[in-house]
Amino acid sequence: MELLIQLALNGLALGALYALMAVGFALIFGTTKIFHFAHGATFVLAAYTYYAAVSEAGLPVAFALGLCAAVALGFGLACERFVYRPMLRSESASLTIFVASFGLFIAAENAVILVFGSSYHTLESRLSRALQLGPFAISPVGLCAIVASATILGALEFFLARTYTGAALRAMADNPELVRMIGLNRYYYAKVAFAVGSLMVVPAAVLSVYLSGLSPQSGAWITLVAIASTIVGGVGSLYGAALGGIVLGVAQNVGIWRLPASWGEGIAFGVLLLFLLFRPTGLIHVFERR
Amino acid sequence: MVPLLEARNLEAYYGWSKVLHGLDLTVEKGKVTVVLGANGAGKTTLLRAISGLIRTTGEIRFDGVRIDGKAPEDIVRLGIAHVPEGRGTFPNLTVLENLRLGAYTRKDKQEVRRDLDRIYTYFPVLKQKSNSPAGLLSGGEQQMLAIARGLMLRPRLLMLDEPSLGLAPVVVADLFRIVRAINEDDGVTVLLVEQDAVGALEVSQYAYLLETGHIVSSGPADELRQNDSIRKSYLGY
Repeated sequence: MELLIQLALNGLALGALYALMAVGFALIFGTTKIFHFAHGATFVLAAYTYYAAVSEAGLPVAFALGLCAAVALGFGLACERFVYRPMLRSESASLTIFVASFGLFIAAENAVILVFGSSYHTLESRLSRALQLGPFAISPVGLCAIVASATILGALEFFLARTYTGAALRAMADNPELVRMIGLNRYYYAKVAFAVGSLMVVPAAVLSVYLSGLSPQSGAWITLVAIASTIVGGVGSLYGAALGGIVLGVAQNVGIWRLPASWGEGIAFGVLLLFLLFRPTGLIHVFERR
Repeated sequence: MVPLLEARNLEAYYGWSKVLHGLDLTVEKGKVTVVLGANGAGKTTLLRAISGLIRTTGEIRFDGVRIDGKAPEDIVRLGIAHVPEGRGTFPNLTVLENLRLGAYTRKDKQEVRRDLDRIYTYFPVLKQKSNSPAGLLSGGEQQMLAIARGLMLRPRLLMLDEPSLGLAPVVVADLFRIVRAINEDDGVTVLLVEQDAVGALEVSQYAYLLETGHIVSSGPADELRQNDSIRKSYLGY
């Protein structure tokens, strides 16, 4: 039983990071309808930037964080401005845009392999060592993941629910055509969505370097997680995406209670499959349109 | 006097099929003009063409200036508010958010606030429900919100696409009364598209009859009401 709780705790820390990735993806997808597969590339680029800044260049953590944020933001905005926007202007089909995004993802992944090689990297920190809480152990990094995720998601909720810009973003998600009829500058709000979504990758990328280590292939996994969480949660709902991320993180950890550890990812996607079969609309229903 | 809106030889397509076949249509400043027609006559297409949501050939002039070929975002900025059929609101946004977004293109914040108050006097129910999501309003209330959202632009031309669709007759009567008040008290020019000929002809000064993409008849609303064949096919008496 104690092991189970311990696994759930580990899962919660991982799920908190998944939630950040998933909500960023869902925010971009919901407001712009762009299937931003390259969201995982943002993750890989951000994580390697941080890793290189700290371990190879020996820069202070605060500086490395800034650099990492700049790379994530720059990559996300560049995707929007130079790839998706021209495609949307020429009225490309959403499948074409998806393929372009997939291409971006592969290009970024290979660029990382070219520079850093395809081996596994990890960073050690005093913060990685576990703290003992009664019978349970959690690393400060894990705790950071939970706190950072909760704070950022709370701030996002406030931004979306209470500000004019937030209302405009929700309007984009609600009815893209009506948005044009009221004269909203949809490219500006697409930029905002990409900026916010890409910045949310930063804490996930940095903490996962400590929490689970880094390889160029982790981008594909994290993209799948983000997409799966969005589906598990219910497409169109950011709460759902966050919850979906946590469910996947916990499932991946708790799943190995009685099974070999290598089953973790398989179990997480088993959960996804069950959702698709039995509750295809996801955990949270967005309310039905007429 | 230059008409507020003028379409000449307007043609529009959906895919390969032609939906509007060379329409000529004029909307005079300060008046309510109605375009009557059955389902599939091209009424919605006409409004979408004016809004720049679909590609057209021919000419559309707004206050003398060509607007055909412009993007919808730019056409809104000229003062044309389009209230589409059915889904004219953002269901997950509150009533107040919907209204504030209606004034998105305006910079005169003070005036926007004043207009909001005035719109609440037309539609008191929207004030009561200003914080509930639009999707939870009744059909009639949603239609009121959609119109109110259009008014928040302080438009020079308000285009309404079948505001009566799916509403109870009492609600429809109410809605038309408000449309008339908006036109008379605020001098907003209205282009109305309707199937409900009885109510629509009552609020309008000028009417067009649209059949499968052709204008088959037009004239002052009073005259059309007297016309026998129109009475038979549209008014049912």
